[in-house]
Amino acid sequence: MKNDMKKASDPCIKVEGLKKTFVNGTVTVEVLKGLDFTIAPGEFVSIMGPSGSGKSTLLYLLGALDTPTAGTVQMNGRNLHSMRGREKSRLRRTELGFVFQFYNLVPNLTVEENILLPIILDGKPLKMYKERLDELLRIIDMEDHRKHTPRKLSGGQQQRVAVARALIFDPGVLLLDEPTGNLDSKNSESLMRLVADINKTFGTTIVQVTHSDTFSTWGDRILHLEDGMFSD
Amino acid sequence: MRIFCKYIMRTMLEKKARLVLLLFAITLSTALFFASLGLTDLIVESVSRPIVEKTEEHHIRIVSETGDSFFSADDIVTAGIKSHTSSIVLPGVIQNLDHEIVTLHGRTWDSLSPYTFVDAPSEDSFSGSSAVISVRVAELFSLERGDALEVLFAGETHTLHVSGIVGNQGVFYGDTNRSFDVIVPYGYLAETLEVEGLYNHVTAVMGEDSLDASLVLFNEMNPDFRGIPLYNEDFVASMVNQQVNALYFMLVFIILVSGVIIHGAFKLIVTERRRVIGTFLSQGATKGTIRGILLAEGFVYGLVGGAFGILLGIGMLYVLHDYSSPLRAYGVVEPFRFAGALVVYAGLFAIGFAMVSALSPVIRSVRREVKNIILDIREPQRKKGALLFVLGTLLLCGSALLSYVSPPTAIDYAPFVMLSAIIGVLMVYPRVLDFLISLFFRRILPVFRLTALSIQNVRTSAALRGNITVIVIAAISVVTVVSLSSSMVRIVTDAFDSMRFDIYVHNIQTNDPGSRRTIMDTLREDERIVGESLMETTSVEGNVAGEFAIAEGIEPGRFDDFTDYIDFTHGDGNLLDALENAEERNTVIATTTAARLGLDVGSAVDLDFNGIVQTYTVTGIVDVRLWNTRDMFFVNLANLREDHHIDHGRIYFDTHENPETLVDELQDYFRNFGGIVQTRDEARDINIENNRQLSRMLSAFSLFAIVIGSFGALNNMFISCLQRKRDFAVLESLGTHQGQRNRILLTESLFCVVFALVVVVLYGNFHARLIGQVASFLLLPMDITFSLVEIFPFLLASIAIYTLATLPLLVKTRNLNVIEEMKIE
Ligand SMILES: Nc1ncnc2c1ncn2[C@@H]1O[C@H](COP(=O)(O)OP(=O)(O)OP(=O)(O)O)[C@@H](O)[C@H]1O
Ligand SMILES: [Mg+2]
Repeated sequence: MKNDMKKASDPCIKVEGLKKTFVNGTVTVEVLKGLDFTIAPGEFVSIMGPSGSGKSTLLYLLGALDTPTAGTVQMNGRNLHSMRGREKSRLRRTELGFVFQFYNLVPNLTVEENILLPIILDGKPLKMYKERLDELLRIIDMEDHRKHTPRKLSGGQQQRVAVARALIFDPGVLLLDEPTGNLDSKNSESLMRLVADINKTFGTTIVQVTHSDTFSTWGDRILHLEDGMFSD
Repeated sequence: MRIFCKYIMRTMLEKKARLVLLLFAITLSTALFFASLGLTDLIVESVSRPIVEKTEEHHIRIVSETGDSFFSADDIVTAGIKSHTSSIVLPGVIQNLDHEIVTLHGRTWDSLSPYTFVDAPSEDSFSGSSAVISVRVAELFSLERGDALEVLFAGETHTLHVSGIVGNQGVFYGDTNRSFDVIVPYGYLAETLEVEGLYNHVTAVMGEDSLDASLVLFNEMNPDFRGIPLYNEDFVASMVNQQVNALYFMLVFIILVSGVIIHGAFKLIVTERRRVIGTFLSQGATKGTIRGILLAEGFVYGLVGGAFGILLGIGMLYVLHDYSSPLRAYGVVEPFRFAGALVVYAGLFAIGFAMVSALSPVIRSVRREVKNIILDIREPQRKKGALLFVLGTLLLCGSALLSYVSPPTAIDYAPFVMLSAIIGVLMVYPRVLDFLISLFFRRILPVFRLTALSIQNVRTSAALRGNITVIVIAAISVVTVVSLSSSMVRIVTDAFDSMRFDIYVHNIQTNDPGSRRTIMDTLREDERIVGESLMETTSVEGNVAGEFAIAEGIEPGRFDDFTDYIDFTHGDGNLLDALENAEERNTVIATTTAARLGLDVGSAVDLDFNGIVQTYTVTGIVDVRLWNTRDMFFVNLANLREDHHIDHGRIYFDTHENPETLVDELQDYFRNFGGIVQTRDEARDINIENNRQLSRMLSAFSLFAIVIGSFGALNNMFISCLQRKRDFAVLESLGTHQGQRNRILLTESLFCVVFALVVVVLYGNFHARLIGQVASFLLLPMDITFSLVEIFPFLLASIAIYTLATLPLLVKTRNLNVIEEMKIE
């Protein structure tokens, strides 16, 4: 298979002894009980598991949106959780893309502006990203809707815009938490096709959480999370 | 539905911050409502209590129908009255202490029976030039029995000896270290004044249930005498009412701010619960029950907030009561009382207010199709913004039209005109905001990115727009107070600047023609004084057509030159010319008086001053502006002196010297008569200071509006932040950092406050005009101008306050948990 070759190179994401424990008053929930794994550059990984097994928790840790109780997450050789706040923000902005189950677009901004939001926040000249924007609009098949506000779009369209927004900086890694959770089967399929395309055309590393047996097989590898551990 | 009630009870207590805010808004509004209602009675009570005491609970004064001030009381028929006391009452000034003003009461030994003596004097000791004083005065001046009091009265100094000391009852009730009362034997005073067997002060206890009935009966049976009310309760009330009306006016702003806050809170309440409401509907609850229960929640807030508000209101009244007790310095504070009905009114107000403010969100909560509520599906919204804009524009234009095109009508309905203008502004601005943002957003986005995004947030967040509303109302209340206060100062200054005099003497405590003549002669002979500038006036309070009125006794030939404040010119002549001949008994009256009493040029009117009634002819009507806001009658000074036996007054004159040094010297002379001498500047400053008291009270109200407003604004910021937590989380996942988030929040607040202030500044000029019309409605006709310079410090302060209010929000959102926010409920 093609990942044989990729595994030879340095891993894109390297997780060692990752633990996450939530303390709620007197109750302590050990959600992740020491995970070790690597993901190669350009790999497409699906995480599956029963509800409450810690999938989202893991994804947020990979996305530097949360801090682990123990263990490390390295991205391209850098330890995420030893970074300072601003560095993390920069990393999230430029090297990571995140897509949630809810599309979370800014209501009064147009499709274009929503996609450009990370650039707006970063302060870079918008013009520099014009080509990238056009390319993404083409890929998500929304060229005709670029001036529309999210209100006028269907759920599937909104989620595609959210994906494009995550990709505007051409990040190395795209993290998706049940991106099709709110979509019907037709829209789900077109979104997954989009994700697979991105993986191929840009070589973006993809980590997605999904409940769908069908979509999980679209990737290169499935990680089964159960009770805070991977089961095979 | 008990379960839904239970659910609501639990959620009410769950959101502590909102509970506190709602209760705070209702409590404060109710408290101020209660205090304003109670204040009139309170002040009237605190002013009239000492009067009731001092008059020994007599209500009726009996005067001679012949108009003589001294008369025999022998033939009084005891009809309509119970008992009567006859005495001679005279003003005087103490010479051997510090020129205290005294009122001498010439009485018989018998009339002293209600008084408690600290020692036990005999009737014998109460004879000749003996004097009974109060314990308070004895202590204040370390006086004992046998001590001498040198008193100037009836033009001469007389020596009295303290022969008895009694408790601070009756006529002694109001004794202070500046003025007090002394009782002397009737025989002594009558002999000194050579009026044996005659009295000038006869009072009686009313014999019927009401004062009016007693007076009618008495006057019917006593053709030679006339019974008149001893003191005028209406007068006290009418003086107080004007100020309290101004407070009510300010109360409107507080109620508006609070109403907006309660309305906003309820909007949020029903939004938060829409799923639960849907669930209950799906289980068979009707829309009516849901609405009923939500309104019941408003009822509960009203009840609890109202209860707190009434307690706070009682507290406020208590403090004011303590403060307004005239004898507070002597440890005499009137018993604290308020009408029980006020509690009921305030309670009803609180409950009604809470429920009315909650009404529209509650009704809207279940307006959608039941199916859509259950599934939480939004129905296409009607374009409410546009409708509001049109309605608001109509209100604004309507009030502007009325105010500019037909001022008299506008004044008749001034409070409503102002209210509709304000509501109009509140309805119009959201659309304008929307339009401006959509116009400029795309232009500023490439340059000021975070700023543009923040402003965009204001457009989308109802809570933030609610903030603008709150700030607008609070700022309008500030504009109102500042404009009103500075206008009052300007008016007083203008009035004083328009009067030509250097020095002014008032409060002279003698009503005796002899003393007055002596004073005038002394001044005329003084070379430092410009002889021809000497001018006298007299103001007295009395009754006209049963209403309280003021007579201004003037020298017709001099008064018009004396002041430009009132314009007496009429055609080629002058309205005051008709007053020249005192025999004719003519009067020039104020425009407002003419309107109120239905008088016209040529009308005959009975003026009752000092208990003496004379018929006058109205020869002119003049706009007196703010010279006096009561019903006013200008008459010839000579009429007041000869017909009504009023001899005290004010004296104005110019000097060749430095007025300040002359005032110091003259003060010594006038102290003998209790008179107070002031330069024009002093008099003006004191007058301004008196007016400031009202503006201070009004400022307190607008401060309350700001305080409630900033709490409400803070709450709205939290609400808007809570509602957008997920948006912030998304931004976080897109790589914003805390600094950027803080900048967004701060920019939002700053934009809200600045936009609101711009709205208020634009509206300011029109508002000033409306305040002027409301003032006219309250019988204080004045021109109010809106001055940006005067308002500016307050604008800066508001910006600071609201920006500060954002800080807790920044702290609170510091630890935003993206994972939490992204969870799907
Ligand atoms: N902030 C928190 N505090 C306490 N417990 C938490 C917190 N966040 C998550 N948990 C717990 O961690 C466990 C894993 O949650 P997580 O959201 O990762 O599950 P998941 O696998 O994504 O489930 P699902 O498929 O339903 O989305 C759950 O038991 C959850 O209750
Ligand atoms: Mg999850």
